[in-house]
Amino acid sequence: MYQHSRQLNLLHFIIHLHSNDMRVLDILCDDFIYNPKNENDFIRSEFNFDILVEDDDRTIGKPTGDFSYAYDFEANLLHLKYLNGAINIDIDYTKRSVFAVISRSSLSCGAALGNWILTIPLAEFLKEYGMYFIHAACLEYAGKSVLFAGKSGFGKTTISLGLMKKGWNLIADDEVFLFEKVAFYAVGGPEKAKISYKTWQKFVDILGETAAFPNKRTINLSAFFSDKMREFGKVHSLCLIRQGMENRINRLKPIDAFQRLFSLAFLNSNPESTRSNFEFLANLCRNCHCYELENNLDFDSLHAFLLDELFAHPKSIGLSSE
Amino acid sequence: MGAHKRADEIEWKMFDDESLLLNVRTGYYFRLNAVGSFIWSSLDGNRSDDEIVRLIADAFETTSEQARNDYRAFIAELVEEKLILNA
Repeated sequence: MYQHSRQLNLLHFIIHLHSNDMRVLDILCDDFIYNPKNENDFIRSEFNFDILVEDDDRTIGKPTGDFSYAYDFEANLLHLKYLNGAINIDIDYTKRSVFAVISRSSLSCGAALGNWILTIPLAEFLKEYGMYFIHAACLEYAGKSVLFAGKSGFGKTTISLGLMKKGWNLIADDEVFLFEKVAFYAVGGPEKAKISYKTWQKFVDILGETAAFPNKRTINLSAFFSDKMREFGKVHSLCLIRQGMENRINRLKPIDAFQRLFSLAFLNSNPESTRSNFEFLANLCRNCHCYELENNLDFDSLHAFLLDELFAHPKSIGLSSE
Repeated sequence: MGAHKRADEIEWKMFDDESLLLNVRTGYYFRLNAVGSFIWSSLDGNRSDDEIVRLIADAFETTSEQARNDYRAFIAELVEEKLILNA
């Protein structure tokens, strides 16, 4: 059934990938770039991911966010479904394995497959090890890190690129694993960014010229910014990104930040996983400075504001505050 | 009135005087204000409803009648959402 297999070393965990089709393994291993510095470090556990590619006659254009899930309490299984059933994934908490059945047409989704087939299932298993996944960018400045959490399209990549131009280092552009060890730490997910042509145009000075392209293109961040990538960082602040055309940042009460973050990070699954996720994110919000951020390319003000907050040198700044 | 206790599948976190409740089976979550959080934290199954009403009246400086009415209305909502059980 599975003629092909590959192995990925992710965050000290080994993922054994098995498939009847080599192409899906190429996509997952090539586009889903996790920090190779972990190679040959100590390994905490291993997981098996079985992927069955089936022929179909669908046409999939732009990868969409359509997604449903259901947890089976009897079987201790989480069923995930994407793209109107073109991708079906079962996460088995007892066997700690993943079984994915995907249509051949879904291979056109490229790097998005990494998120669906690898990140989400892996995130479920890693909760047992005290590691919690959120969709966020994470940037570091002089030893302090800030999380920028928001849905896809809310500007995480734009903020990452904008702050890197101001001297910040990048821990993650889109996917972060968090853990608590006295303080809270963020570990970078894949060293990739999914970037639209519109965003690319705003940062031609650092990304270079490119021809127009549809949808989003995946870029390997370490190829562009090898000296600005960091493996992990101590979390100081959390910004919840709000879509809008203004430049403003407001402090959030921890419970408001928690409610928003939880709705972003939340996947109702195995009750113990859900319980520990709830506990972890609540503690994170209690122990961070929390903000709501709306940014429209005013990185000078954002940089100045964050430096004031991180290093406690109050002064007036250009960003308005409600 | 008798006594009530929090259902086992409810996880909850206090933030200052507010709290967030999560049903870990359904995934539904609820936010409680200061009075709701006070009542919720009192629902340990050991205190009777009458005792909690007295605590509310003392803590929020209201009449016993007002506290009892508010408590009954709140408890009815919690029961409806299956967040509490009869102790």
